[in-house]
Amino acid sequence: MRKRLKSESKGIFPIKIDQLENLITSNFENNTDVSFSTYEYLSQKIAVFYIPYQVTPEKVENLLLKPLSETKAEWSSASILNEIPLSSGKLETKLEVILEGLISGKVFIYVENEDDIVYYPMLKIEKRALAKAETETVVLGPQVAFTESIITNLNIMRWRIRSTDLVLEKIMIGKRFPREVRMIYVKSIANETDVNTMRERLQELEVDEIEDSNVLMQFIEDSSTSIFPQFYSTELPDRASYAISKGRIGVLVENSPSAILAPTTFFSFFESTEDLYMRWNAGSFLRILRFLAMFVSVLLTPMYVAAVTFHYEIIPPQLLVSIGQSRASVPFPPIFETLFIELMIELLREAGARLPTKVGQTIGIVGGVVVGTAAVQAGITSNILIIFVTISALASFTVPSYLMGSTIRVIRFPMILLAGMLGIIGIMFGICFIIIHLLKLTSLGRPYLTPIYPFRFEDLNKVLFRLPQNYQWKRFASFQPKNLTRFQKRKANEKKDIDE
Amino acid sequence: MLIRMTSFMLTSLLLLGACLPAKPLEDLAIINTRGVDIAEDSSDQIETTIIAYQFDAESQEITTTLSGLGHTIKGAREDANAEAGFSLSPGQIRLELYGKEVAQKGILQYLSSAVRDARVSETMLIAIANTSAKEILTKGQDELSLNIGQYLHNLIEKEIEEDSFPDIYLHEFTHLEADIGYDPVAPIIDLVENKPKISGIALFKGDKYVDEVSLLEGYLVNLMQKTTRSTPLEISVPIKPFLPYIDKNRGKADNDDDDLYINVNIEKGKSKTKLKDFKNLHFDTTINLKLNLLETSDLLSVENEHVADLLEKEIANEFTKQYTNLLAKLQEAGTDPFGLGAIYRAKKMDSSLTDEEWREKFPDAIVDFHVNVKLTNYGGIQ
Repeated sequence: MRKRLKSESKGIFPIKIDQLENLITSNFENNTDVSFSTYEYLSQKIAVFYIPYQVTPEKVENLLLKPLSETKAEWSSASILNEIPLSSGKLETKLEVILEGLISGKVFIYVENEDDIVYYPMLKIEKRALAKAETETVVLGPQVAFTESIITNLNIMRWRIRSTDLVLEKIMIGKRFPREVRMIYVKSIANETDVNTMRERLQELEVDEIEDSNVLMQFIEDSSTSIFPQFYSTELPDRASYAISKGRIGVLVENSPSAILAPTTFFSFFESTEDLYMRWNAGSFLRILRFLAMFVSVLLTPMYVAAVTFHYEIIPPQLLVSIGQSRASVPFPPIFETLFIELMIELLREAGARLPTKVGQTIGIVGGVVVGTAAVQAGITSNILIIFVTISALASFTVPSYLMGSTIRVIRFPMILLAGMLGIIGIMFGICFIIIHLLKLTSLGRPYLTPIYPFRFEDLNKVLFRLPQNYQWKRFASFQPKNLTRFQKRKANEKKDIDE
Repeated sequence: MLIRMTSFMLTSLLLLGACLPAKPLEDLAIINTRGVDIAEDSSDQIETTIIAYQFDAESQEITTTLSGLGHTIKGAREDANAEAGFSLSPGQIRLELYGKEVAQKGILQYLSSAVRDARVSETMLIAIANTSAKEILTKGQDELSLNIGQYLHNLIEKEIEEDSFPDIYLHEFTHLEADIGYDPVAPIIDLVENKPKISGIALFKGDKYVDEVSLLEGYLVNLMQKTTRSTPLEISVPIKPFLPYIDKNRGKADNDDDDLYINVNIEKGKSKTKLKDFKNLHFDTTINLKLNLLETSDLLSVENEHVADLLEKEIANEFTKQYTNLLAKLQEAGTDPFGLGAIYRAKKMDSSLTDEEWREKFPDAIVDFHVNVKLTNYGGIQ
């Protein structure tokens, strides 16, 4: 941590109370925030000062001032520490530490002519209560989300993973405006190389300030220019604890309601915690559905553009008539028509996200129904395209991760351009480009497309589909956890029968 | 590096984008069906009749009929295009209909133009018009008030689905035509009261139309080529052996017909042909049929096991008779859709068989047909 007032690094005590008051208030220029009160007691002058909104006033009164005024004896710094029934009291001599302490909610008590000053941390943090997850909503399973308070978040993590193995390493990040960051992992499971890599990246981060965990994520990701997120950002504690207990590393940032999970594969962005809570067959179905939805979302409208512009041969004859008829009245080339509607959908979505919930819903209806129908009737777009665009928009909503969802939204546009310029060849170019890029990507040094590439058969059942719980006795091997076995397979398959 | 890469890719994309001619759907007249005839006035020219989709915002009518004259099929298309405000493109062509006269002269040059055009689907159907293709397409279009091309396509496709006659998609046809010891067939479309109908099967000698056989015989040809599944069929057997089992009091009162007509569904038909005697061109064909008896023209008590046996025997006899007749007809026409030549060629040393050689030999071929019939189902009541 950088020292802010280097010139006065030596102790200033002993000092007169008036001088001290001047010193403190002059450092908070033209600012009446500091409450500096002086008491005279048995010809002894005692100063108590703090910033009122940073501390809990009742605490100061009940725990500090009351014992002070009730004790009939001479005070010294040492006797204050002894008499006041609080264990957190400490002594300090340096002015810059005092100033910093004031900001972070400490209460200082100075007895005139003493050699050091006593302080008690009484920080009051304004925090909201635990609430339901908003961006990653789930139907089944725990609904609670992380909050902005790191204390609360750590608390949640502790009661989710009750083990002494759980490590919550504290690292301060930010040279000018430091912030507390916690690296969380299970010591006996997490891969050591991964832990070291993550620690190194966090410790060696050269930055003045990180605003949020999502900002931190962008700083420490493997490739900062890529469009794909390489770490998972989640607001669900159950998701975080699940990943951590399987050997991944979590990072919590002070004042940020989402945790970073690393390493991550491309496929884990399509996993929902619900897949686990549901029966395995339904869970597998939904997961496969999400993968399909990704392809539909990325490829459906580009395919329409390619087919209508270049390859009318591939349209089924029955569909040809209806597409042709609806296209006939549209004055624009397919590519502009499609871009127009896609942009309209994006506008609707963005408007819906910015507006208050109730207004947002209205906008959705107005945009979807009224504008859509009117656009078709006015001959600006074809009704077939409206269907395709709606399906692809719906499909993009199925991605559980908001970050990956927006990536897919963005990828669609270059694909449409490619399709409009080069047809299916263009789409193939685009797909190849994306796949090559994905193959090159890593997450915390681990391949992004694993277990498809490099291929790992044993991990497929955790990625593409799901097996019944008692068959999932291994952890995700691609990330090489220290301990691969979750439980004994044979024992888990033995059904306990009460009659025996 | 990244900026250079991206700008390179964007420029090449822009430049390459100009290489591809865009064919927006709404600017095309998409050929659905094409008829090919010999021009009425000059016999060295051909006339095409084209049924095409064209999409115009102002008109509800999406099907147009165009015609053009030319020495080549593409030339005729260009000529026809002069009538249309859209450019005619063959990417969705489903059916090519040849007039009888054209078919008699040979259709290979027209097919090869279709084969070489990558946009033309390999699953395009080929059919022969009993009169001229133009008549069927124009009259049928007036009569049906729906797209005649699609109608004909569905008509033929349905029959192919039922295995009533061999597949006559473009690739099958050209493949069989090119094969030595195999000849293609195609359905014949005729107008019955101005409504198009499949009237028979055209036999080809190479790419030239030579003769016509009935639809039943079309099935027999198909059965020789492959295993067929659930084909509906009506056949007739002599009524005489069944007379004792026909209930005179019920059903049709008086019957002076010599034949008993039965409608069956051939659940599964399988054939195997072997070359018994290489020198004398003696073939041996075993045909196994599994039948579903659906209907008889006279009320028969099929519960009687003897009747079932009798039926099986009579049907087998009928099939053998039909096959023998058909073979005689084929040999007379000099066309071999059974593919006997291919079997012969397989047995021949170094498999060298020329087309001429087989054409010479084929009329002397002898085939013994053994038909086994099994009635598997008589319907719900037994």
